[in-house]
Amino acid sequence: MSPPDRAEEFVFLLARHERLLGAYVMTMVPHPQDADDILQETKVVMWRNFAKFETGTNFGAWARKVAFHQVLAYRKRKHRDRLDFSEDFLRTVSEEVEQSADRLEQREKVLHECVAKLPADHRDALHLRYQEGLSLEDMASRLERTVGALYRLLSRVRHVLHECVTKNLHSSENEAV
Amino acid sequence: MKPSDPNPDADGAASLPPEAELRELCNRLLDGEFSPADRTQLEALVLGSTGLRRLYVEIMHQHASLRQNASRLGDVPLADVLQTFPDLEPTGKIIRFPQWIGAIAAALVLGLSIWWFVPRPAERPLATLVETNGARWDNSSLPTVPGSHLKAGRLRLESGVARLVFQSGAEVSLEGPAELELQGPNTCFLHSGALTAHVPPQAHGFTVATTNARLIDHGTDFGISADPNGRGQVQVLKGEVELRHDHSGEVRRLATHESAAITPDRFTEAKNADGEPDRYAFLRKDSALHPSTLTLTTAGGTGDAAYVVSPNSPIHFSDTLLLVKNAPTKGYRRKAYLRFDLTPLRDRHVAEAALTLNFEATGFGYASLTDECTFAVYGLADDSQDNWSAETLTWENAPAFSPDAGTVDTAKAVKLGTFTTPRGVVSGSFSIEGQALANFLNTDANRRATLIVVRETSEPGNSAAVHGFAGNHHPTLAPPTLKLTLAER
Repeated sequence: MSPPDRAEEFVFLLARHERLLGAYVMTMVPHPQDADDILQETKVVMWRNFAKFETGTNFGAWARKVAFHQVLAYRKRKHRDRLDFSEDFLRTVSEEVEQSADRLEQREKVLHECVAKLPADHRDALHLRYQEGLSLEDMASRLERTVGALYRLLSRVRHVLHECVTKNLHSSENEAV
Repeated sequence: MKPSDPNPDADGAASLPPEAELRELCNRLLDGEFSPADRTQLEALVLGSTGLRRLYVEIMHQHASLRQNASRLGDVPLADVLQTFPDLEPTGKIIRFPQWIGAIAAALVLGLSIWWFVPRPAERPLATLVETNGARWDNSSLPTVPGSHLKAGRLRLESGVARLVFQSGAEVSLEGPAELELQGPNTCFLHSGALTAHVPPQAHGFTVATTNARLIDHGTDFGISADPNGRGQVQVLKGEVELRHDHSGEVRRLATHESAAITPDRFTEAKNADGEPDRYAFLRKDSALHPSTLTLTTAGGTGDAAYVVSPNSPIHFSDTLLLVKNAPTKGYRRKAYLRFDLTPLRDRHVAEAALTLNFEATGFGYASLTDECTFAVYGLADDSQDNWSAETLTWENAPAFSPDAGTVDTAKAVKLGTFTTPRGVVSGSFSIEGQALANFLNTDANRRATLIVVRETSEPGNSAAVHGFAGNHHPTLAPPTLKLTLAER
């Protein structure tokens, strides 16, 4: 296969799996910036080793294996932090993601419907937090609200979305039966 | 922020039921301050219960999904992404992985999930102008030198013949007077005039749209003509084409030597009294030589169309619509700027003029909460400010700037008319016409006319719709259009 085709294959496979991969890293690394760095490194390592990946086998599982090692390597390299999760925790959570992969992908499909149902000010808050990547402090000054109020708002939105996805997932499963 | 801030009543989170406690710990982890004690507690909960383990993974996954769906997309097509790959051989070599690769890749597969974005039309060469014979060009929005690579845009050929080859390999000879819009590597829109096409096998599917019908090639040589009123004619010289009528839905296949006429309602026979296909019938009217009407759009010549965004706008953008909004929150305000190239008027005097804008729902805000809205159109009197460009126009550097969303600096611009959209209506065509507009066009000295559209009606809250009308890059709706009736010579 010529390099551009191989590259295209990589981009497509990554597209299919990278969200779950991002989530996977985030379950194991408490600092978002660290999680981003690890995810980025993971993608580079994956590309460098893509020749070793066999087309047709489980790309997602392979990607997560690479990511798991990157998490461990990152922790080793970085000064140990009191916030770092124990290795026991990492392994347990990592197995949980592996087992839940299909369900999580289903959840993501439903998520956008649930976001669409949110009131406009909740969507705006999500937008500022997630698209603009603003800190709560920046959001607070932008929206002229307190950090505490925004914290509570985001907590509520997170909870509402989670319940909405769970409910819709169940109702669509019931319809399918 | 201190973790106890959001939760002043609870002494830590320990008094909550385990599920609520886990949610609270996740909130601190994601938005607040996460302490080593929190970490210990989170681990204990997650390791101690399969249900909570599952919940933890779901919450973190939801957070990650929201972040990744929000990645900025931009307008980089896959081909450009892959062009960055030759240096990216899968070897041991370290490479710089572009930050946006994930977003691009994600967009390829999960277009549906990109909730907040509309991709821009691609600015890539679609065709090459290979030769011209006696061609005289009107003010085209595209380069007209042979050898030019043509991006999306309009070619206006006044007379003569120009030959272009699309990226797909389809060859088109355009006969003036004609106006052809390049829309894709294998697609064009014939607004008026005639063309013949030779379509080699690799370009099968080549499509020529006209106002009322589309022609899809199945391997042929064919000719097609169209007049500005949506009538046209098709003749197959060799091979087969398919015709689809936009309104009646009628589909016709034409084989070698067959022909058909396009009318606004249907296809009919295209023969003259002698039984010969008559493709120039519509051009033979004397009026074609000295037209008494003229249609200009912001897509023609040095025209342009843009909207300005008040500072610190967090959301609500569009690449196809020009947004207009007047709301109490400063970040939500929008105004539209239009520039028409008036050179096709030459020395003719405008007797009557109408400006038409084609509105479409923007998806921002609620139409049901939108009251009747009055829009005003201003003409920029200061010609020295006509040379703005869509790329550099900002809220504050825009001509006739006023911080108020519902008006402009009336020392620099004159109000030409208003129109009103009914309650709850956010789509459809709306126009202004009248002597003020005609006078403004007649007195414009530099042959470039800037018009500014604002919404005069403010709203009590921020939840009403953001209005939007088609700009120069809308896939189906016509750009802002001036219909001019010219005075007799």
